[in-house]
Amino acid sequence: MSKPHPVLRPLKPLASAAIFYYATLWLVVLVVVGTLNQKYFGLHYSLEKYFSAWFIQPMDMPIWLPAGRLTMTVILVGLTSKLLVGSKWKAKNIGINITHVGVFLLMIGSVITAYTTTEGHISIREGAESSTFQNSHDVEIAVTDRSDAEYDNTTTFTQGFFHSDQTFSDDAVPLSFKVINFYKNCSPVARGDSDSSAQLKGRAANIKLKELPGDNKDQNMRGVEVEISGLSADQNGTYVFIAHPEWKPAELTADNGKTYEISLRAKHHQLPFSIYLKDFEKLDHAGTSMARAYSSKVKVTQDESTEDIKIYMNHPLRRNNYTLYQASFSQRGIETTVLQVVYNRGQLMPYISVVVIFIGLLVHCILQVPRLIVAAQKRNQPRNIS
Amino acid sequence: MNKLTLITTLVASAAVCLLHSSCREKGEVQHFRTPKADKALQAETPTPASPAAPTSPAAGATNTAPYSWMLPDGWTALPASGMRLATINIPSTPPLSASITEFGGTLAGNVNRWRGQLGLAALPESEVDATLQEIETKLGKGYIVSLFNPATPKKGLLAAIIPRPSGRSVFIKIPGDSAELNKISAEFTAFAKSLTSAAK
Repeated sequence: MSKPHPVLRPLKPLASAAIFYYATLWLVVLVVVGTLNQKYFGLHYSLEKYFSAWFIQPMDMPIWLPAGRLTMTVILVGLTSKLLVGSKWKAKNIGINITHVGVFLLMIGSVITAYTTTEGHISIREGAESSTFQNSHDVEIAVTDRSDAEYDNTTTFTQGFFHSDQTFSDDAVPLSFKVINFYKNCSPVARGDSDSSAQLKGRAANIKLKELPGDNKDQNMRGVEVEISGLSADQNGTYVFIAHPEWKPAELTADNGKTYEISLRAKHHQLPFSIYLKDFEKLDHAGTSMARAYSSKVKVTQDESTEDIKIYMNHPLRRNNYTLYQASFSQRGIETTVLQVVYNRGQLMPYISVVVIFIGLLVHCILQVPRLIVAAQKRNQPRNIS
Repeated sequence: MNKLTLITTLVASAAVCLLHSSCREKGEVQHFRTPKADKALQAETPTPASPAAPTSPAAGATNTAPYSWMLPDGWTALPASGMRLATINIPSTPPLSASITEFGGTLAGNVNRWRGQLGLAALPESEVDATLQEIETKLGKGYIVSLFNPATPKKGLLAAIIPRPSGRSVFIKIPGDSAELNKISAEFTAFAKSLTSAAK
């Protein structure tokens, strides 16, 4: 093996196969523990704690162990080092090296997916159109001005602002916010007299939020206790919001006399196209009301172009790195389709990497054939016994 | 794994973690402009199962239904889950289960939807009214709906609809064998009449 470039030489110890083996073994442990944890605390909570995090603290002890992201980073660094300084780039090793490149591409794809994926759902009634979808795992504070006759103007502040040391605002609304507590799962409970204070306004005067562990069916109710300032008279203070359709928004008046509707809601994302539901069709199994198949006939409009598309099982709508799947429906009153939306810039990487891995294995196999034939011939030659 | 490899791995990992942990998720401000007509549609379009609705809590109680009732002998109530305010288990052979929910939609629209699910033809609104039994509940006027398809007698429906001032209605729905539903019809009507707002 030729010596690596001096710049790359520090990477040589990281090209050790031992790093890969031990890291992969630890990954197996994480998968087992995370899978068991999911039964009690739900899929989303387990994903966040064991796989999307860098460290985990077992049973909240002051011990930090590598979580999924750190473990995969170690594997990726090891594989990159192996490719740059540990691989023999000779003809007989080309198949193995191509396979390693394929695995490297797979891991790069997973990094892209980890940092760019957004998921959610969009519900559209027959005859209605929508261009936003909601991600119920993330929430945002929404401030809506309904004073315009034709439009509602909403300004939203995402979860990244929910730190107790951060006050945030925007020029579009004359209010400032500071989240005191953010709960990933909570429940409203009665506030005792000893807890009450003049600072607590609206529902917060009677209700406080009790933090709960992750729900094992992912039915988590997110809540915030937030300080709002810029309101009129004595309305400035601490308010409580829960992200749930039944929790009515608070109507508050700012110093400038304008009324705003404030709520905590599932994070909304704008699609680069709009979808109009022309018809929702459901076919039942004969003699029952159990769905056999259901589909949505939609018209997709983007810029000046429109396209008629049918979305049904195994036939999602794919456009601009978005994939929309037929997920569910409702037939209460006007028929409504519910589409699952996934945005993933790395969606093609697994396909590309699998093809590269296949090519590498095939090349390696083909290159090994002459050696195998020679070895077989040697084995079959009779021994000279003297 | 030799010492140098181990040390290099640990140092590199620590550096990556320190770099990443010093960056916390950044907040993002977005602006949406929605035509007012869309809001009415969005308010009623369903979302995938949400947690049970939060209500004014009694001390320490959570996720309780906003209504209370008198259960007939042997009937048991399970707490709210998903979109249901409650589930009522009814002893029979086979066991029956009633769901209590609260949604929008018109009286005729909901009845015709149920008719469609049982393979019955939809009726004009005036004819739907004629098939309903009006009752007086503690929440106000309500209606008993009893549906069955002679072609599939094991798939019947017994339901109560109680319109609310908010424009939504409370639904108590029991699907099951028509013969069994007939047997509990009187108890079901008494149960529906007993529905009242939960004590605050």
